[in-house]
Amino acid sequence: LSAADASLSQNPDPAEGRWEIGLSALILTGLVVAMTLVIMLGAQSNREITQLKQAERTKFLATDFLLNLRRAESSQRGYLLTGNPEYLRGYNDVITSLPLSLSRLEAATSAEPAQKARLTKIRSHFENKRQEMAATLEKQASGRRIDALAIINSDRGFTEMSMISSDVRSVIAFEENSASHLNNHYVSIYYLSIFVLLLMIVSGFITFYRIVGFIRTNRNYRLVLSESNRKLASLVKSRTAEIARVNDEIQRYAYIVGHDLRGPLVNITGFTAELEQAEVVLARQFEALKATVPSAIDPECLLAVEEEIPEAIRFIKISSARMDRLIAAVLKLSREGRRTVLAEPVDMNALVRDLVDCQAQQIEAANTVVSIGTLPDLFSDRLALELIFGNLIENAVKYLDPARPGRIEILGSVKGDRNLYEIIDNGRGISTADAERVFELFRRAGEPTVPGEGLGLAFVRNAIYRIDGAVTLDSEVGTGTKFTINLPARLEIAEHQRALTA
Amino acid sequence: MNVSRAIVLVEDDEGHALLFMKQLRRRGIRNPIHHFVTGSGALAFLDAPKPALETPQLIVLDINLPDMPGTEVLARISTDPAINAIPVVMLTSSDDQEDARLSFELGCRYYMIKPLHVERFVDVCRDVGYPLSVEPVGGVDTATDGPMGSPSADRET
Repeated sequence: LSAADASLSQNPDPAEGRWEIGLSALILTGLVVAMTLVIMLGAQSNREITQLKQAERTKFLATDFLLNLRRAESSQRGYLLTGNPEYLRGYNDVITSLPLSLSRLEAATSAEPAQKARLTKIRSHFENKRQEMAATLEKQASGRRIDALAIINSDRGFTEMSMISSDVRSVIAFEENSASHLNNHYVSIYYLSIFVLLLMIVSGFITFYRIVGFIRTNRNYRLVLSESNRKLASLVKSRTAEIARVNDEIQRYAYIVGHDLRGPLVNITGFTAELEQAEVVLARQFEALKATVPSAIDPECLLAVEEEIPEAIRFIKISSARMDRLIAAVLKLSREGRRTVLAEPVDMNALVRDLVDCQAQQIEAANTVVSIGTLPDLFSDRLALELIFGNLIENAVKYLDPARPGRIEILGSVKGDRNLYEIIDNGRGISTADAERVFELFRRAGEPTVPGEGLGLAFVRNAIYRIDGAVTLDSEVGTGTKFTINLPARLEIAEHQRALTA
Repeated sequence: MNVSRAIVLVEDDEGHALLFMKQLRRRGIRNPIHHFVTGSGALAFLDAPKPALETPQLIVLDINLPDMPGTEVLARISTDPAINAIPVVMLTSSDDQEDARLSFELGCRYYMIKPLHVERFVDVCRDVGYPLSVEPVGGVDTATDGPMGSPSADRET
């Protein structure tokens, strides 16, 4: 049992618990922060993807615009150099769509002030370029080729074109630059995700370890508990057997001693009777002598025969009669102890009523009122119950206070699976000092004004113990006494009680 | 009609035996008494062949004997056809129910727990061992106590 005690009292180390709680909290916090970051970065990158797409579109629009413008320019130059209107087809294809292209580009970059400024410049250069091209073509068409070539030679168109080209490249460069910034967040999300994953794995391992540990500890505790229960049960069993054995031995011992004392007592009583007979003969002789030769009588002898011997004999007889009663009590107690206890349904109201009726004469003589409440029935040993209630009722009647009318109450109640019975009197009472003593064999409380051997309550307690009950006593000298008997409503005949009868 | 056959008393307590015998005599019973303190001694006497007139009239048997239980002596008596008709009174200081049951099974006439006053026991013996050889007696034992102690020899002669 001591080993089980030790392992049961071994509480988990509180410092270890704190460490684990701290770590778990840290991991949880890390997880929450990392997840929040991932979500925020996800939203951010979502926005960036849109921006990236827009940048790509802007780049495309810008490139497309520049290419088409160059196409228009080279188409214009080809027509001017060759005079072949076939060359004009390229120009005609794009010249009407170019302003539209530019408008789209303006719309795409309108959010960026720097880009917007560039596009304003591009728009004005474009207008110049378009006029330059339109003017040359118009002059060519009207046959003034020299004038047209003069415009081209003025480098006006070239300058406008290089301005536009430079600005468009600036626009593209700007978009590329901003796109290159965006890529870094993806890397962050990537590493953060790996970090979150690692945290989750670590946390998972710790949780798993904790659960396994918990299950193992729990199982160990259960094992220890069931083991200690088993030990306790076997301990109780062996102790009960031990108590039953000792009790059995005491009963047998009382029985044997009782019987062995009785043999010599029969001789004491018998030979005292013989002595008494002899004394009668002697006394007769002395009577005769007194009448005939009184002088021959030794006065000391006369005193012995007439007083001392009869007195001694009287004391021997009283004492041996008392001793006989005491031995009979011991034998009765031992016999009751060895009796087989039998459980049967007992109508307690009828049982108590009968016992009170048995005392009717004494109750009437003592000017006493006995009231019986409703008593719960029992499944128990009838003989023991008769002995218990018979003795207690008899005592209540016997030890009433002659100064006032007697009142005896017998009450019953149910408390769970046990029944309580109370026997209350307004008799002379028992002092606190005597309250425990009265249950002992041959012990009596108070003035011995009423004859008795001090057996009744010893029998009562013995019988109550035999049917698994308990008895308590509340009393006040001069006020009255209350005996409370606590009995199982249903007596289970235990193994040790059966063993006693063997 | 006084055949005066013997009473056999098997009792290891000398005091009890003496009181018993004194009381028998005081009550006017004159049958010879053979006292044995052991079961084997009593059996040796009972087993010895003897004429019908010398067959004991009553056997008083204590259960607690030093050499064997009284019930065993009773068992031997009950299986011997020569003596199993003799009435037996069992005497005991124990109230062991098993002893009582066994004694009655073996045919004892009376089973008695030793009384404090021998007179009561003598009454039983007079009834069980009837007819014992009784002489009327005077008022010698008037001082004995108890209702059973008073002389009642006039009841039967």
